Amino acid sequence: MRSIQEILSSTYRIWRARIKPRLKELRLSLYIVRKSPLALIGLGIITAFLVIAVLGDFLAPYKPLAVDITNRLQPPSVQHFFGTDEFGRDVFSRLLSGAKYSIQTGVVVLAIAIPLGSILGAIAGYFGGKYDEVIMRITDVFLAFPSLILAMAVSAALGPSLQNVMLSLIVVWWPAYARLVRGQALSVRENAYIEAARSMGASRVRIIFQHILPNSISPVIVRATLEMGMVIIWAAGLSFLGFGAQPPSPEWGRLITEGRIYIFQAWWITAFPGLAILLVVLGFNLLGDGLRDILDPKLRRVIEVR
Amino acid sequence: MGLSRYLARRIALLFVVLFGLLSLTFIVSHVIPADPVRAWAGEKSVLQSLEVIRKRYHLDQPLHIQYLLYFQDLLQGNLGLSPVTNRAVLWDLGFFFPATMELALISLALVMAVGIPLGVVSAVKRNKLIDHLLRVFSLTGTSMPVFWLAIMLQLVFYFQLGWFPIGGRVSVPWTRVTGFIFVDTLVTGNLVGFADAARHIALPAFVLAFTSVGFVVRITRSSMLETLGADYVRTARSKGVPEHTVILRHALKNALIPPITALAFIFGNLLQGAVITETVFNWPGLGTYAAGSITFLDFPAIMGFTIVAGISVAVVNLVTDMLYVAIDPRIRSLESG
Repeated sequence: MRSIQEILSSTYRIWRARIKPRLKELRLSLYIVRKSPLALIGLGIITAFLVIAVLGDFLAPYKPLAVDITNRLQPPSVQHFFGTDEFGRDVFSRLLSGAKYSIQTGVVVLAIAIPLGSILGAIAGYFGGKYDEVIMRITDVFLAFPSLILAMAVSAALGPSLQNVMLSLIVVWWPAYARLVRGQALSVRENAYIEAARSMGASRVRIIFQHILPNSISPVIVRATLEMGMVIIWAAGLSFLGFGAQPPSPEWGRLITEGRIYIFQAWWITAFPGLAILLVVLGFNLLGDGLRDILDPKLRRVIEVR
Repeated sequence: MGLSRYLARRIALLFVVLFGLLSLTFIVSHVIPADPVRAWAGEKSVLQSLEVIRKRYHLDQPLHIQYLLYFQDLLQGNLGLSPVTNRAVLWDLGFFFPATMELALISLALVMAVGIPLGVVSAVKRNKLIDHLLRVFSLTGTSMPVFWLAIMLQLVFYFQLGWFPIGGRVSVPWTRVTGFIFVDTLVTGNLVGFADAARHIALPAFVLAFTSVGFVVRITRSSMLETLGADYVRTARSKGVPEHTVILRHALKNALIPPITALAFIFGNLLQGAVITETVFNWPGLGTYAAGSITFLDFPAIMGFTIVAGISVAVVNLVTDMLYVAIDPRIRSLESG
């Protein structure tokens, strides 16, 4: 009988040996990130945005819904950094308070769409045959559908609310991941280690979760980072069209819709929320673009050699 | 595989996808909690007229019968009547399509003319200052909320500077011949109309081009980086071929497939109607039409729009695949293999 310690230490050694190459790659990644200032700027923007999303309501100098009719449509000043809207509400405070909606939407949509699409894609690619044919034809139909129209139709059918916008964006977003992971699965399944796993009696489900999905993860991460920004823009766009968050919610797309009525008298109501969206999305795109350089094996070695 | 067999296969696949598209639209539009009839007839309508509308659109039938009836009509070339505009959907689509096509073509031309050269510069000057600036420029375009950019341009160029109109397609009378305003005004000798239409299309085309150009710049750059590192480029250089010939004739020509794919993707999206841009600029195209149809739950119009969008994308993809073959002879041997 081995002692618990022995078992633990041998488990640790096996685990250590297994993840060692991954750790080495991770260290290389960190090294490359440090050399890419633009990706770091992106990371900084995202961090600031996350802090605001969590603490926005506490940081806001005014209550985001506090009406003050005597101070309506005031231009930016020391009291109101970004001015006030048609009800005298502080635009800066509303902006801080609205950050959480964007991050929520982005996280929820991708957290459901990515696993859903990836698993379907892995099944299609690894199982092949009938599974592949059926899953990919369904994917094709969704991809051929004009995505914004699909999202609008789903939101319109279910009624305007932020939850329904999330649902409609999941419907639009999963097929891209199904296709991406299927492509990965097709190339991964030809590797000798898959053959080895199969000959040792690993089940198809186990092979998908242990080998196919982990080996497809880097293109998925790059894509997810780049698309986090897209989801945020789309959610804001749907809200702008009236399908998403409803008043008086300070969701950023909503702020732009409301400000648009007063655009020629009070540009600040519209200008600052748009700048905020632009900045946050740019943050995700800068990071994603940097990550692509890191995770793309072809580009990666080039950077390493220099 | 011969070209005709290849074409036949592609067209057969197109029908499969179209069938799926329509079924999906049918599901989304018919299995919903909202009552469309009430939306079409207006709030104050009497019960009797609701019944009439329900009968006319077969909404009193079970779902699978409605589904069959729809496809039966469709096969006879009948896209139905819009309960909102009271016109045939096919007529509406034909009316709004040219405006979207014109906007899409001009935006695409802008994207191509700016995107590919900038991508080449970015690759040639890799990791120099200009490359970093171009990266920020491209990503800014990609990160731009379209509706906000459109509104800001209206604020600056319409309200403050007065250079461009706030929206619409044209503000002087013109005779509709083909529906394409730049063709029609030229044909009828209406130069004032031509210039006016050009002023109207400037802002929306810029918005669409600016938000899509980054994609093309980035893809051209990475594709160029690959070909610039290829052996045949080194060979060309060592033979003493002038640098600009190496870049344009040897590297760029072999790097064109990914940018073309990107352009096709963008064009497909534009043809589906740039809903948000068209709405903000009040552009009388398919995007505005689709947005309106969805707001009124106008199913015949939504389904008709879906068909046009599906066919547009399929045709663009088909033409793109043929362009590949024209550009890169290696693909031809793959197809036949």
